[in-house]
Amino acid sequence: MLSRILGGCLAAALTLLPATGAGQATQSAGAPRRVPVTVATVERLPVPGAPFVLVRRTNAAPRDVILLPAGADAKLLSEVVQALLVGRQAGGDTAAAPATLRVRPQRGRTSQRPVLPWAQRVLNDLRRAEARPVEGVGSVPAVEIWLPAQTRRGPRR
Amino acid sequence: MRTRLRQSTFLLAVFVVTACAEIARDPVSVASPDERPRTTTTTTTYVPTIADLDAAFGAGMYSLDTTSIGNSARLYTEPVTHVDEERPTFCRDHFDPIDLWWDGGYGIATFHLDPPLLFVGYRAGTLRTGVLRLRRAIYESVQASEATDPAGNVWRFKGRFNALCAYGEFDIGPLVMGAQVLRSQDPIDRPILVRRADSGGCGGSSGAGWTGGMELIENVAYDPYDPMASAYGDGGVSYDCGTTGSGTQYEPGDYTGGETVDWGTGTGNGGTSVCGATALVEYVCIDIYNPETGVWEEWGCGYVTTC
Repeated sequence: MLSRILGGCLAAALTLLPATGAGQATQSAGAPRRVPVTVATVERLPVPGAPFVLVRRTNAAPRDVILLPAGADAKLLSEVVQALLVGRQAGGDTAAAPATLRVRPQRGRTSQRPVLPWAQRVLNDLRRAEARPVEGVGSVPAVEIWLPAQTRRGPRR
Repeated sequence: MRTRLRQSTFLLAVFVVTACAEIARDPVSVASPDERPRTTTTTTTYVPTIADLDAAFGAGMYSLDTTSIGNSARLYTEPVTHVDEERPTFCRDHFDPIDLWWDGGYGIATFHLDPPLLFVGYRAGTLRTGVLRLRRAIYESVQASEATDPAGNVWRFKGRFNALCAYGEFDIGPLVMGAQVLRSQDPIDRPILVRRADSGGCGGSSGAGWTGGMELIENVAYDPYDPMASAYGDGGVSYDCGTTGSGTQYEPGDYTGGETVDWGTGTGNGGTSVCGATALVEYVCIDIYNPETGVWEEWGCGYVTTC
């Protein structure tokens, strides 16, 4: 009986593990195709002059971290989410090497990027969030969000 | 008698000078760009009719712009360069729609180009067809147009195309009025293939081919806290539209209609953009911050799709 209960708990834990954000989304067919990123606010950004900081890591969880200044608005969060998606298109959903990156648009866009409709909700939650330890950053208010995977399944051309 | 002879000689000289001045006037030196061709609706000058245009091009195969904005548009003139050209030609921007035909290897697709169609420049030579003398020219559309070929492929065109043009007077039923006739020839800027007939939901700037299998982060219903995409899971729809992609060569500023692009080449790779029909191709550079030097260092540049 006990072994049955333990077995059931183990199965439940294995099922929920990706959903907790402890690991990246699996890449197998039929599996969830979202990849987490932690959004945190900091009093002082580690890169001088940057409006936000986008960190991709290989040896810490969570792997992708967005650091925002305390006064960030929905427009800024939308910008950084798009930058992260661009970074994932270029470098993969899982970073191959740790990096603090930024995206410089060169050609193609003549209009402003739209503000994501859920960005303000995330910011509101972030402002209410309790400080919690984020590896490599410290104890800061943070929330975890999930974005659609950018790397294609199947062979790349 | 002597005085009379002198007067006659003087009058004759004045007449000759005046007549020579009239003959010597350069027929091609139209000084003002806004100057209209001289109205010559005399009995000896034939004014082309709609029947003439239909005979020359075929009904519905040309565009006749009689709009007031067109008739107040600037005329572009060019000196006569050939001895067989008896007068200069005039063309201008065109403010009526026109069809442009294109065969990308699957049959003819017809682009309906909306105005304005901007005059770019003349090509050498003129073309006589019936009573018309037309100028070879290059025009440019400013609005993108889509067309479907007989095989079901969807093409998009915006840019320059070859055309025949002539500005002048036309007999349009009860009226004789200034107008421009324009006949498209072929695209100069190549149309791009935005959706293959057999590509399922990939591509297509209208988004009509979207399968619904993608997650749109611009969607109000998108839940950023949900790690499980509701559209996926066991028995869910496929995330990919294919393994090879459309192969369409996109340029920065193009809408892919939902397909992602190859980072290195900008060609459609068959992936599904989170932006759906609003997926826009951008060329971006990514920098990496070097904490030791405090300097951003370029990691690479490439093509991406963004919302």
